[in-house]
Amino acid sequence: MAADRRSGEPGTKSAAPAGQAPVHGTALRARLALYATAAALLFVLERLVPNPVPWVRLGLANIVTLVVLLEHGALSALVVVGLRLVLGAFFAGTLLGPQFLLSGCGAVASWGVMAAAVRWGERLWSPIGVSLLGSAAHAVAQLALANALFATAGALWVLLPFFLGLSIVTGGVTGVLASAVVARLALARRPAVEAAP
Amino acid sequence: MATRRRPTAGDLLLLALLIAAVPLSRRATASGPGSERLLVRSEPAGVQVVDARRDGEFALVGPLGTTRLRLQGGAAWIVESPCPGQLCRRMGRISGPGRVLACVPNRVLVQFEGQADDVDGVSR
Repeated sequence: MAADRRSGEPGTKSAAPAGQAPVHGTALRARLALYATAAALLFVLERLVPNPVPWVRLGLANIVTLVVLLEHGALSALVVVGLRLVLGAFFAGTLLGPQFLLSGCGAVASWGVMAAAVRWGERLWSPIGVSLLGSAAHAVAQLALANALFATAGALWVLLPFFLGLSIVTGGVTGVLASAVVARLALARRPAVEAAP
Repeated sequence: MATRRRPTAGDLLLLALLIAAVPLSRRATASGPGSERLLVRSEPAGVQVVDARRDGEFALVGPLGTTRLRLQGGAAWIVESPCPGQLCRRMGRISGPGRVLACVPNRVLVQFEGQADDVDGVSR
């Protein structure tokens, strides 16, 4: 991997993804704000699309989380997750409700697992694998919180097989898309090659 | 990792583990709470607790004679009973928490432990 740490993290050296100058300070904050906006937009738009299967969401906003994680590190990704959660819940009208808590729990668990996977498993898997892990962690965390919140004596765990199966699909799709976005960003950072005279 | 787009062997291993986790988690979460124990009450023997996962046949002695209870595949039913009406045999098989078999004349009651999670019936 070109950089052991991503730009913008505390204690980061000048290393950054190949071809990218270190991004920090105001420039980083501006980028994170754009990322958070994009994530919140994807979050809201996803819910406007008619869906025949209840509770099933592709989690397109997680593409942004993974991209930020790979480009700018775990802390920046956590900032984007927090902003996206608040913005998305605000626009969806679910701020501070049970759905917000469940989304937050899943998103934070997913972020934690993906950050650990990127930190310690860079040679083992690609963004697709990281996304699969994050998606599975999201499902398990949400079910755990739902069981705790609604005092069902563990009855909701019967949904685990369904959500695990779903996480395979959503995690795979978001991983492929995030991988493509990161590759495009890397391509865009390459210096332009002048045409031969 | 940032520029690696093709799935790695680790990705495929993860995918295989997740796919395997689906049926395993289904098996682990399929049983309802308390459905693994069968409570058998008879007089004068009292209450016995039976492991519902183990198949077998039980002889329950009551005032009228012996009621034979069979347990197989997590379901229980009365095979033979000395009562005149044989209603207990017509109750069929029970399984799952809260379900009950009873032979009132012979003082036998069989119940799966736990709370039933659905209604006993619906009136319209």
